[in-house]
Parts: sequence; C-alpha cells; structure tokens
Amino acid sequence: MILRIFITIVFSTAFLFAQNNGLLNKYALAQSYEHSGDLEKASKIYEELYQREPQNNLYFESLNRTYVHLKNYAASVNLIEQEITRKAKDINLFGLLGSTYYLMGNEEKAYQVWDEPFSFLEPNPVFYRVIAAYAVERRAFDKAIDLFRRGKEISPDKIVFSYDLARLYSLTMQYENAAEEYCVILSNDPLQLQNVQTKILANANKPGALKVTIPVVEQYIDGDNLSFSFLLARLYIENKDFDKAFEMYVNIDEKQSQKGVELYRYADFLFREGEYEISKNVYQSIIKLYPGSPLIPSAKLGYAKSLEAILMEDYSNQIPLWKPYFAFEHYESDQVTEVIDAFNEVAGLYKNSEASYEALLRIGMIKFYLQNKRDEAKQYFNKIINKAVMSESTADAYSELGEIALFNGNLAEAEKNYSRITVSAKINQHKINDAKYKLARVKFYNGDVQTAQKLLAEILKNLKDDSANDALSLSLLLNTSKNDSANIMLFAEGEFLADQKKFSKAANKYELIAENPQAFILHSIASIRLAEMELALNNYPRSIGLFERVVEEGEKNIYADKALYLLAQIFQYGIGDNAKAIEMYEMLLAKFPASIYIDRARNEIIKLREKIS
Amino acid sequence: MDMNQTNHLKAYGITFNALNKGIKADWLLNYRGGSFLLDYNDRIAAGCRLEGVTFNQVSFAEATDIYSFVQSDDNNMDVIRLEKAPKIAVYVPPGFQPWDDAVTLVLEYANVPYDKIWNDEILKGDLEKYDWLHLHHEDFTGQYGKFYASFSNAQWYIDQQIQYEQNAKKNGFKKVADMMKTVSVIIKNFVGQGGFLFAMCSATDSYDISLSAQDVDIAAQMYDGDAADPGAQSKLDFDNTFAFTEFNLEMNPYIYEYSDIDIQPIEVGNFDNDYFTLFEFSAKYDPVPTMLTQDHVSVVRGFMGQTTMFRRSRIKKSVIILAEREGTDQVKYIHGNYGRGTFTFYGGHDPEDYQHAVGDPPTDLALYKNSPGYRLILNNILFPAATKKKQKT
Repeated sequence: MILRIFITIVFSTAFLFAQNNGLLNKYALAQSYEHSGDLEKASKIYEELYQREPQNNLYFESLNRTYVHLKNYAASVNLIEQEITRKAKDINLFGLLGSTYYLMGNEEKAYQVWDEPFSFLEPNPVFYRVIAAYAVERRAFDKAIDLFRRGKEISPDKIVFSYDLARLYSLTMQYENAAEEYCVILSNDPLQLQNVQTKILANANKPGALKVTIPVVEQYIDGDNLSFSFLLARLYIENKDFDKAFEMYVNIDEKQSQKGVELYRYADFLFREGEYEISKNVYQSIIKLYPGSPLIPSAKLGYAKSLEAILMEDYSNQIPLWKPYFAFEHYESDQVTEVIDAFNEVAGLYKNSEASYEALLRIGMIKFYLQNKRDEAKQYFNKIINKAVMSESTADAYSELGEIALFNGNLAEAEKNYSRITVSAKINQHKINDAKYKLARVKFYNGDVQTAQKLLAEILKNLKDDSANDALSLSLLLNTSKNDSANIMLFAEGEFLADQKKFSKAANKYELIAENPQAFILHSIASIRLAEMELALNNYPRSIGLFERVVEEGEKNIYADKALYLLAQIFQYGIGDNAKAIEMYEMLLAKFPASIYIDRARNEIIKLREKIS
Repeated sequence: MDMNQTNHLKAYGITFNALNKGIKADWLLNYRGGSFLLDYNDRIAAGCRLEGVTFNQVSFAEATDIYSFVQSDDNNMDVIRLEKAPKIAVYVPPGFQPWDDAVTLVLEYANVPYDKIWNDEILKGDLEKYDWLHLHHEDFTGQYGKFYASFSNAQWYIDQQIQYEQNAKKNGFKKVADMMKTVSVIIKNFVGQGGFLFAMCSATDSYDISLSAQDVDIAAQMYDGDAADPGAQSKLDFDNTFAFTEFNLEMNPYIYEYSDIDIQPIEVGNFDNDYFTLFEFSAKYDPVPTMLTQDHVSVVRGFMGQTTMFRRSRIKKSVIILAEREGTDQVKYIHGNYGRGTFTFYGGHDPEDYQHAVGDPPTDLALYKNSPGYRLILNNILFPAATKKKQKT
C-alpha cells in the first residue's frame, strides 16, 4: 500500500512537472514568435496558454499585448472585460481597457472606463495615479491632468501630485497652471526651492512662459517663506527686471539677517553681466545697509570697479578712437573724482594686498590717460613697484612708467622700465613680448637698429603672440630700409615725436621723407603718417588732401587702401557726410578688392545705409 | 565662376536679386565653372563689390565673343536665359530648432529671400503661392527623426513631439503620422502641377517612404501610440514614390534609420576618402542636369547626415544620377521629373560640417565662401528661373 501511494505521488509530481514544463516551453516559443514579429502565431499560442490557465497574469498580459499590436482591439476588449468579471477590483484592468478604447479612437469610452472604478472602489489617491499613468502613456494629457487633480484633492501628500500636475502643465504649455502647482509645492515644503527653480527655469525661454509665471509667484510672496522671494528674484533676473530683483534681495537679506550676502552675490552677478550701473547701486546699498558686514571691503572694491567701468564707457565715447593718432584730451568730471576716491578707499582698506595694488594701478592709469597728470600717475606706479615686487600689477606699473617716460621724451627712462619687465621670471610671456616690442621701438628711436631687430626676432619666434603683428611690421620696415640710414633715422625721429603726441613736429619729419620719392617704402609710410598727423591735429582739409595723394599713388604706395579707408572714416566721423563716406568705402571695394580693410568697409556701408534709410 | 571667384555663394544671391528686379541674366553653363552674365549697371557692380563677388566688366564685342564661344558646337557649354526668380518656401517648424538647416543658412548668407512654411500653411493650400519648396531634415514618416533611443528624454525631443501632436490635433488628425502623410501627398501634387522640390538629408528618404506608406502604419507605439503594422513592408506601394523603390523599412524603433535607402557610416569608410564626383552632362542636350551640377570643381568633399547617400539599387531607373562616389553604389545627388514639376534630392546635412551632430553650432558660411557643396544647393534655386528651351533630343 505504501509503495502504491509512493508511486502515485511520484507519478503525479512527474506528470505535473512535465505539464508545467510543456507550458513554459510553449510560452517561450510564443515569445520567440512575438520577438521575431510573427504576432499571429504568438497570439495563437498565448490564447491556448490563457485558456489553459486563465488565472496566470503573465499569459493574460502577453495575449492582450499581441492583440493590441495586431490592432485586434475587439479581442483585447473582450479579453480584458472577461478578466474584469473575475477581478472586478483590479484597477489596472480598467487602465488597460481604457487604453484599448483610446487606441480604437473611442476617446469618450476610454474616459468613461478610466473613471468607472472610482464609482465603486474605496477612495484612494494611488488609484488616481495608476489610471493617470495609463492616460499619460496614451498621451491623453488632459484626462491625466483631470485624474491627478482629483487624486490631489483626496491625498494627504499634495506635493507628489503637484509635481505630476506641474510636469503635465509645462508639457502642454499651460505655464500659469504649472506655476500654481510649483507654488503649492513651495508652500508645503520650502526646501524644494532648488528643484522647483530648476524646473521653472527650464521653461523660462519658452514663448510667454516667464510672463505668466511671474505674476503667479508674486501672489505667493510670504514673509515667513523666503523660498518664494528667492524664486521671484531669480525670475526677475531672467526677465531682466534688475530693479525688482534688487528689492527682493534687500528683503531677503533683511529677513535672514545675513548682512548683505545675497545682495553681494547679486551685485557680482550683475558686474559679470556688464550691468555696471545697477551693480554699482547694489554694492553701494550693501555699504550703506550693512556697515558692519565682513563683506564691506569686497563690496567697496566691486563698487569702485563698477564706477570705473561706467567711467571708461563714457570716456571711450568721447575720444576719437577711429583716428590712428589723437591728442590726450583732459577728461575731467565728477565721475573721475568719484572713481579715484573709491579706489583710494579700497587701497587703504586692503593694504599690502593684490586688491590694493590693483586699485593703485587703476588710479595711476586714470591720472595718466584721463587727467594727463603724469607726475601724480608716476607716484602711484612707483608705490606698487616699491611695495610689491612680486605683484601681478608690477609689470603693468613698469609698462605705464615706460609709457610716461616715452611721452616725456626720456628714452633712457623708458628703456629702463621696459627692460625690468623683460628680465622678470614671474611675468607672463605675453607681457614680456609686449615690453620687448616697446623696447625695440626705444632702441630704434635711439638709432640702435641691430638690437631692435634682435628683440623683434625674439617676439617673432611665437607668431601667435599678440605683439607678433606689430613686431613683423617694424621688422619689415627696418629690413627694407637698412640701406637708407638717413631716411630711416629721420623716420625714427618722426615716430618718437608721434609717440610724444608732438604731431606738428612729427609731421615736419615725415614730410621730408614723403617729399622724397627715392625713399621707397619709407616714402609710402611717411606719406600716410604725415596725413595721420594732420588728422590728429584735426586739420581735416589738409589730411584729406594728403590721403587723396596717397590714394592717387595707387599700387606704388602700399598704404593706398588704408588712406582710402581713413578718408571714408574722416567723412563718416569727422565731417559727418555719410553719403561721401559710402562713396569712399565703395571706391575702396572697387579699387582694392584684396585689402584688409574690405570687411570693415562693407560693414560700415551696411551700417550707414541703414542709418540713411 | 572658376577658382578666381572670391565668393561663389553670394554670386547666386546677386543674380537672384537682379532677376527679382526684372533684370535678365544669362547662365553660361560650363563657361569658367558656370558663370552669370548680366547687363552692367552701377548698382549691380556696387552690390558685387559690397558682397565681395568678383566680376569682370566686358565690352559688347567681348560679350559677343563669349556667346559665340559658349554656343560653339566644339564646346560642351551653353547659354541659358534666366528670367524670373522663383518664389521660395522652406518647410520648417516654427520656433527653435536644435540643429540648423544648410539651405536656410545659405539662402540667408546669399541674401536670397524666402518664406518659412509648415504644416498649417501646406494643409490650407498655401503651396500654390510658391514655385520652389525645400525640405531638409524633417521626418515625413511621423517617427520624429527616429531619435527615440538617444533623445527620448531630451527636452527638445519632448517639446518637438508635443508640438507635432498639437499641430496634428489642430489640423484634425488623430496621429502625427497621418498628418505627415497628407502633407506628403499635397507636396507631391504641388510638384505634379509644376512645382520644384529640393530635399536634403532625411527629408529625401523619409518623404518617399511616407508616399509609399499611405495605407499602412509603419510607426511604432512610442511614435504614434499604437503598434506598427507587422506586415507593413509588404504593403508599401513603390508606385507612389518619386525616387526610391524596393527599399526595406527599418522597423526597429530603437534603430536610428528609416530604411536601407541610406548608406551607413561603415559603408562610407575612411573620412579622408569621402569625396563624390559630379557627372558631366551635355550642356546643349541636357541643360537641366547641367545647371544642377554647375561647380568650380568636379570632385566634392562628402558630408554625412541622418541620410548621407542613397543606395543605387534603391533608386528608380527613371531618376537621373547627378553625383556619386565613384566605384561604389553610393549616390549623393539625384534629380527627376514628376508631372509638370521636378524633384532633386541631395544626401547629407551640411556640406561644410562633415558630421553635424544635434546641438552643434551652425556653420559660419563667411568661412566657406567658395564651398562647392553649398554651391550645388544654390544651383537649385536658379534653375527654375531658366526659360524653357526646345529640347534638342
């Protein structure tokens, strides 16, 4: 008896095992058919498997999937409805059935099926998320939004639903509604600020998004929840509404008692963006509002730099940068004093620091270039040199001292200062090459052509250096004129005088060479220099005549194209005759199609034509 | 316009705009790389100088000599009179594009005026306002460029899909693919009625695939919500297409390819050897292909695209091959007639950016003023201006 029972059990188990194994093999076969694209055969096997084991969810899902892929939607509906009769509370089945109806193109029925379980199931926010996921999958976004909304109403966790809603609102370009949801999130959890801000800013460049988002966030401003203030300030910046952003940061700093931390970050951002007028105001506010803040020295430096940037913009607009040479104009204004005072204050606060040396350098440069107070400027540059041999500003201070010496006609002093730069190991190669070029010119003015050429050759070892072009031009001039020592020295005298801005005297020297047609290349360059000196002296009629003479020389003068270009510039900027300027530029295009001034001429023509029309 | 020309591309713009002002021009096919002869006036001369276009002023006698030389039976050259500049439309979706369009770039650079149109305009019949239509990297199969595998989570892809879906809904279509099929047919009718179609990159094969799949769903679930028809391949109707036939669809939605029309990068091989050769046609007997292949070089640097080149075995016999990679079955540039109009397909995305990727900055054409690859594009905007001559064959 025991043996019989044992045998029966063994045989039954073996039978069941074989039966299961057979089903699994069939399932694997159906999957293979499905993957190979033979959905008809796969479907037939899945049908068989499902009939054998209707309770097996895997068979049900596979069969429904193939029905849907075969677009046999009626079969899918029957199958799912059959399944629903057995599992009436399975929310996923309603999701699937609605999906099939949606694919059939019957949106109304799909929505009805998706809504159906909520009429008889216990209220549960998770159910709404499940059905909404089916709607999203079918890209029925409006229905998904409706479901998420209803789920949110009964859910204790609003945030998760708000994220879903905000995502769908953004996707469907309903930015105002998205903003509402993001604000709900921040109201419930201010720590979500970074997340929310990233998501809102991702849409900020979409048409109209910012315009509708800002008013929504404005409504949520709350004294106790600063996350809205941070968000709104960022949105104002994005909208280039810097004043409103400023107010926001003032408010944030007040609330947080941070002594201007947020304002300082904002001011730095504005300075980097080139919004100097506003950055100046923001730095100033930090200084006024938080006099005891540890940020005061940095704010004062930022303030001074902003002031200087504004001053330089004004100054650049007042000097004739279009001229190759122009006289130092004494530029005096309240702004200049303000900038110098600001830098002086920084230099005092930051004693013996890089910021202090930089402030001294800036003051020196303003004294030299804007106020033409060379002795005072020298004092500032010498302070840097004496106090800070290793400072980054020291090379610049030497260079400026060299410029002043050159301007004063003191070649020995200029040489000494430029030389100090070239022998320093701490200074970068670009500054060294710049000093070498200036030193080469000094040597040239002194008549030491050989040393000048040696220095120029050193620069030309790196043709990518910024000084390489200038070095090449001077080197060519010296090489081609080495057999004409009398004229080359005369030319050097002219150049030296031009550097000293003694344009009248320089013109006399250049004229001597220009009148001498035997001077070859020196004749060409002296002719144009002569015209440039007259231009520097604002003697437009004479400079026009001289430039025209160079143009007439045509191919004989390698600067003829430059002369024509400068003629056009005189008419454009000096005389204000735009029509004549266009005529000159067009002549340049016609006569010198290979000139390096062609692109500039074209741009000017386009600009002037737009202006005239 | 041989190697002495300083700006080939702008020369087309000068000629196009002269035609627009009612000035007649002659296209001297194969004469010094294909040159334009216009009656001199100061404005045109100033325009050439302003744009940096080299020109020679010739006397009446010299012009007569040139005409005589060009029309001589000893030379494979001819004169084509250009009379009226075509009205140009470029098919692009509104708003920002994550990558750029070579045709738009060159039209802008050469100052050739054009309108941008999209599905709304085509569906309401606006094509009849235009003579010439350009399609670039658009996907006419409704599969969003088949970028799903690489970019389905990228914001631009998500935005693009929504944009198309909303556009389809607005125009009364349940699926984007259905809208694109309708758009394809309208474009086909435009050509049939005498329009000129110029397509590049993926607009070439995806357009023809769309025409062949009018009655079958070839888009997978992630593209249009439902599965593709598993028997789609056998249901394609190649009689409907312009240029391609007997091609096999790439039905895998994760593979960035529409069909076997396109040549794969591995088949292109070494980047350094990728050049294509322009066919030389008889200027006097085949003026249209001659116009389309005017260039200052006959061998042009290749360039890739979503559709790089066309497989010769998939091109209909009736289609004229304008350029190919010699010794291979890789065809770059084709042309054909349909009804009263013509179509020209040019493989690749940007002639001066070998492998232009999504998000790459646009090419600055000021650096490629003499681009032979871009010049082929511009041939297409001027050839519709040609006066029809009585064919010699």
